Amino acid sequence: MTRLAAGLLCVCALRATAAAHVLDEYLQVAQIALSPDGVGVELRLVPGVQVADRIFAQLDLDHDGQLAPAEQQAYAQRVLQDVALDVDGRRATLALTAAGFPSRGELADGVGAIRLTFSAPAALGTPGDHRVEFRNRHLPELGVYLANVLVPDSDHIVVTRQQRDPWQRELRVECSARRDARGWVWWAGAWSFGVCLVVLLPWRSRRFTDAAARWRARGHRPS
Amino acid sequence: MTRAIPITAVHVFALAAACSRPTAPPQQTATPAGPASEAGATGRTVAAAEALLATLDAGGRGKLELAFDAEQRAKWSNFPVGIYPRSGVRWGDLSATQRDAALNLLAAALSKPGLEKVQQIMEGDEVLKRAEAGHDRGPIGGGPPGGGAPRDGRPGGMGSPKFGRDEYYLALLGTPSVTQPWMIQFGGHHLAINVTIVGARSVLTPSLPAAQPAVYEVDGQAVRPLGRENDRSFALINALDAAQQSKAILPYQVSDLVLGPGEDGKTIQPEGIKASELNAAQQRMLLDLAHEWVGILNDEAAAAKMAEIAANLPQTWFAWSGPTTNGSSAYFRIQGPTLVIEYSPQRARGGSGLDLGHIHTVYRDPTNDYGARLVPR
Repeated sequence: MTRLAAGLLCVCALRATAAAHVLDEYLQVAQIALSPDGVGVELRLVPGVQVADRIFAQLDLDHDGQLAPAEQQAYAQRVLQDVALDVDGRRATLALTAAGFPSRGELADGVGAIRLTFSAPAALGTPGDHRVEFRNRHLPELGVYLANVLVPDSDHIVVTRQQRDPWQRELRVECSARRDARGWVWWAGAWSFGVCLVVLLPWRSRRFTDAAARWRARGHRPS
Repeated sequence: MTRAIPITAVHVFALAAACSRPTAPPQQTATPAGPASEAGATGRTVAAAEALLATLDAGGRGKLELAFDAEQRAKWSNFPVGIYPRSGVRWGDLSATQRDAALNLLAAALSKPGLEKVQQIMEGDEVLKRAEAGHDRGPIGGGPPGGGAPRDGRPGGMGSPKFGRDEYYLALLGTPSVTQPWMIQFGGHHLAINVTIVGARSVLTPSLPAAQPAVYEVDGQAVRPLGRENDRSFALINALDAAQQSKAILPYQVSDLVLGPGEDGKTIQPEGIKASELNAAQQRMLLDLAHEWVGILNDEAAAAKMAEIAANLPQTWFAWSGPTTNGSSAYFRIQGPTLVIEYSPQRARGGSGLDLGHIHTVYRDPTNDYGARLVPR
């Protein structure tokens, strides 16, 4: 540390760029969650510092410098129109379930993330193979994309294949739903238990009847 | 016959319980975190933490010592201070004695190469700051200069990006102890180190070693804070044959970390080539590459973690995106049951691909970030 601190520091091939991240693009991160009864889509949208004003202008419809709830809702609906989800070849109806918007200052600093969560019902738990396709066409002239599917929480859905276009605007996920092994075991257990009851209860009932008869024969009577 | 009912019931419920367990649980270092010896890494780290505390006045200790709570543990970022405020004592506010004590603490918690990497990353931030000042470009994105007025009225002067060697912060979450959980948080613009310590066990995940510039000179010597990571990764991808590369190389660009700051608790579907499809030499190269992150932590803890990773190697994946010639910019990911490593060159301006001089990486354990397996809930 001392040597480094005392040393003459110079930069090798360091361009005169600032230290930030995606500066002049609009990072759009999609994470897809599969469950037996639906698909969740979480979008994290981060405008770079150099395009933040353009994005804010699209958000701030009345140009008052503030993001009113109605303006946030309007932007979320616009994004919703720009994305599409197909399940097994049919268009799924995505609904906005949550939205979070950063402050204008965070957007201006290039660190503000717009977080939108959508969900759509889908029978992915039905045993067999399924296909989920997600497309993001939001502001393609600015966008740089990431799209990933999360490991399903449910053991019964297994992702078998993923495909993307070179820019990650499109993600196609193939998955397979297995029959619920635990469900089978519980049904088998309940069935076995029922059979035992059917077989054993009459036998135990007969033993009880015999014992009561012997008890009465000894001169007792039930009260 | 009278025992038939209970026996049948026990049989059925035992079968159900067996079926409800995962079929192939990942290998984890499952031994409980027992008390640490005074001579071990935890003992040395606790002693160093107490020595650092002794150099501070009440005000300094108040900044350094924070609660060991979930909210504070998750507060880390790659954004510059100001845009993303850190907690703890500021490096630039420490005296020489206090800095030595702080370095001793890092030296106890980390390995020698790990500490060297940390110092090189800090120095890289300083190089970047000087370069920015030299070009009179102002801070990130052309905003107001460091220390200027907040852009959006955030309190405490926040809102102005600050970075450089002095803009690193050190915090201790909880009381340093050889038995109770506590944590060291150390970070600035291009570094977030989170060491959770529980008894004899130390956990480095999640952490974010990054670098900009990726290469700079000190005394005529080139310094590459993440140089070994880069070189080992290119050596590995080029050690694969064409069939293996066709599996490992993703046919799409990856422009950023997928599981960076704020993405706690998520596990993405792995991709690429499975390590079980690599030969022994290639597997060794993969482990050596992973060790560049694991080995930041002290040798005892790193050895335990590497054993865990090796045990899970058959379920570990290696994915690559980008060209395979060393000297070009490429993204890669190593993902196993208890490991996620991402290496992500950042986007250059003007959509002209990835910036070779600006690297972000993240190191996670989806089962044990912040010592989740060790810390009592």
